[in-house]
Amino acid sequence: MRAARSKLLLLLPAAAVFVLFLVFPILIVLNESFHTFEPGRIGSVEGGPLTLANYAELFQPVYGQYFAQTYVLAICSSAVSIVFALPIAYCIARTEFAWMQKAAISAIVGLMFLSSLVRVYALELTFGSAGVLAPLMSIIDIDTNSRMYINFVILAGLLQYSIPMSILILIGAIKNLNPRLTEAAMSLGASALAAHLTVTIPLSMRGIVSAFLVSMTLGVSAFVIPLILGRGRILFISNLIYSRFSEVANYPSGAAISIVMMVLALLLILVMSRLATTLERA
Amino acid sequence: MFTSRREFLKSAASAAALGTGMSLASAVDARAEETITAVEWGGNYGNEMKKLAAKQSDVKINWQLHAGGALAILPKIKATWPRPGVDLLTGWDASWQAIAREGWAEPVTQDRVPNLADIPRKLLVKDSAGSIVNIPRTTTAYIWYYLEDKVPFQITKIEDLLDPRLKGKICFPVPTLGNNLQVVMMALHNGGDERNMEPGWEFMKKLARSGNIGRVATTDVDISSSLTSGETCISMASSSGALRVGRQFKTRLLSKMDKQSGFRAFVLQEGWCVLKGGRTDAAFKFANFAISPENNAEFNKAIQGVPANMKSKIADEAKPIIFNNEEMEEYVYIPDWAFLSSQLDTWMKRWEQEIAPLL
Repeated sequence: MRAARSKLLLLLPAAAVFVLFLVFPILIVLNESFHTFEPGRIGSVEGGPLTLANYAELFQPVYGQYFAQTYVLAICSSAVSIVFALPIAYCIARTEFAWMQKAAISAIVGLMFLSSLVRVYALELTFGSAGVLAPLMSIIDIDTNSRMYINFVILAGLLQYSIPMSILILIGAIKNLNPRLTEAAMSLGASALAAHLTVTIPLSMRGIVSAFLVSMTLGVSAFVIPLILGRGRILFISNLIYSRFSEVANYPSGAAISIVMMVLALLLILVMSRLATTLERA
Repeated sequence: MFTSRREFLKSAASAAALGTGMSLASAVDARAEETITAVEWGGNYGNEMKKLAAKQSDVKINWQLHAGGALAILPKIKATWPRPGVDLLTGWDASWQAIAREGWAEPVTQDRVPNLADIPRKLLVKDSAGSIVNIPRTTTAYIWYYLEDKVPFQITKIEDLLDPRLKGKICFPVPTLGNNLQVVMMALHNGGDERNMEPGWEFMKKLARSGNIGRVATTDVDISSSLTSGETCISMASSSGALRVGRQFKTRLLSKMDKQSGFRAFVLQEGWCVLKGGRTDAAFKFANFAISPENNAEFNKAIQGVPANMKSKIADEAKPIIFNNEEMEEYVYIPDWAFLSSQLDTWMKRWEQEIAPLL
C-alpha cells in the first residue's frame, strides 16, 4: 500500500506537467471550438452563444477532401518510409562491425539535426518548376506544374523526415529480435526472402507499427513542407488551421478543425494498434 | 589590506559614491533613451527603417518582424491583450479597420504627432469614438505587373490571364494577402464590386481551372521570390514590390490601364498605430520623427513608395504609381476597407471551398 502511494507521489510531478501543458490547452481549444465568431473581429465573441456551426461546416465534402489529401499523403509517406527503412535498419542492426553501426546511427541522427527549411528548400531548388532538374523533367515530358507532380514533391519532403525516424525506431525492434529464429527458418529450407517475410517481419510488427505511427504523426502535422513545396495549391489540415488562427483570426473554426484532426489521429492509432495485435496473433 | 579604520571608511565612502554616481548616470540614460518595441515588415522596409532610427537617439527600438501579412499579428495581440508587448505596429488600411473595431489604438493627436499636420486628412482612419488610429507614412498601390521577357505576349486585358501560353506562370495572392483586392478587381470588371463578388468568383474559377496559376502566394516575399526565381512571371502585388523587382528585371506595371482592360489600381496607405498600454509617448515621438518631410522622403525613396507627408519630395521611380485627379478617376478604385476587412473570413472559406480544389 505504502509502495503504491510512493509510486503515485512520484508520478505526480509528471502528471501535473502533462495536465498543465497538454490537457489544459486542449480543453481551451475544445471550449473555443463551440464559440461564435463575428466576421471582422479577432477571435470569438466574448459571452456569445455556443454553437456547433464550426463543426457542421466541416461536413462539407470539400473539407473531407482536405482531410483525405492530408491523410493519404501521410499514409503513403509512412508506408514508403517503412519499405525503405526496414532493410536499412536490418543491415545496421545486424552488421558485424560495431564501428559501422555507430557511424550509421550517428549519420542518421545527424541527418535529423538538419534544419527543416534547408531540406525543404533543397527539394524546391532541385524539383521545383524552376529547379535544377526542371529541364530534364521537361525532356521526359513530366509537367512540373501538375497537381500530381506537386504531390510527389510533397511526398519526397515527408520522406526526408520519416525515413530516418523509421530507421532509428526499427533498429531497436530488430536488435530485440533473436537472429537465430531467422537462421532456423533458413536451415529448415526457407529461402532468405521467405524467412524474413515469415519470421523477421511478423516478429518486428510492433516496431513497424510504431515507426509507421510516428511517421504518420509527422506527416499529418506537417506544416512547412506543404506550405513551401505545395506552392499554396496543395493544402494540408495544418495549413488550414494556421490560416484560421493567424490570417483570418477565426479561432473557433481553427479550434474545431484541430479537434477533428486530433480525434481522427486517435482513431487511426486505435485501428493501427488493433491491426498490429491481430497480425501478431496470426 | 586597510592600514587604519580611517582609510577603510574613506574607501567605503568612495565606493558608495561611485555606485550612486553610476546608478544616477544609468537613470539619466534611461530617461534620455526610452526603449520601445516596434513591429516592422522585413526586407528593405525593415532595413531602411532601422537606418532611419539610427539617426536619432531619443528612442531606442527593439525591432520585431511581421510573420506573414499585417493581419497575422492581430491574433497574437489579442491573445496577450492588454499587455501585447508591442508599442508601435506597422500596418495598412485593412489592419487599421480591425484595430479600430477592437479599440486597441492610442488616439493620435496633432499635439503628440505634430507632423500629422502635413498628412492628408483623407488618409486618417478613425475608430467608433472618432479618434484617429493611424499615422500614415506611405501611399502605395496594389497592382498587376509582369516580367516582359518571360511573358510571350503583351498583356492588355484581364482575360489575357486565361491564355494557355501563361500555363503555370501566374503567382496569385491568397485572399488574406491584399484583402482579396485581386478578386474584387475581377468582380469590378464583370459588373460587380466588393459587395457583389459573384462575378469575380466566377472569373476566378475560370482562372483556377485554366492551370495558369503556378503558385498561390501567402506573403509578399512569396511573390517576389517566385517571380525573380523564374517560377512565375506575373502577379498582383504592392507597387513597392513591383518597383523593386523592376530594378533587376524588365517589368511592365499595369497601374494605368483603361477601365475596359479590367486592370485597376487600388491605392492604399501604410503606416503605424500606437497600441494602448505601452510606451505611447516614446512611440509617438519616433513616429513623428519618421514622418518629418525629409525622413519620410528618404524612407519612401528607398522602399519605392510615395511619401504620405505632403511636404516630402517624391522619387522619380515612384511616378508610375502617382495618380493625378483625372487618373484617380480613370485607373484607381478605392474600396470600402471596413467592409473588406469584415469579409476576409467568408472569402477565405470560399477560396478553400471553391477555388483551391481547382488549382
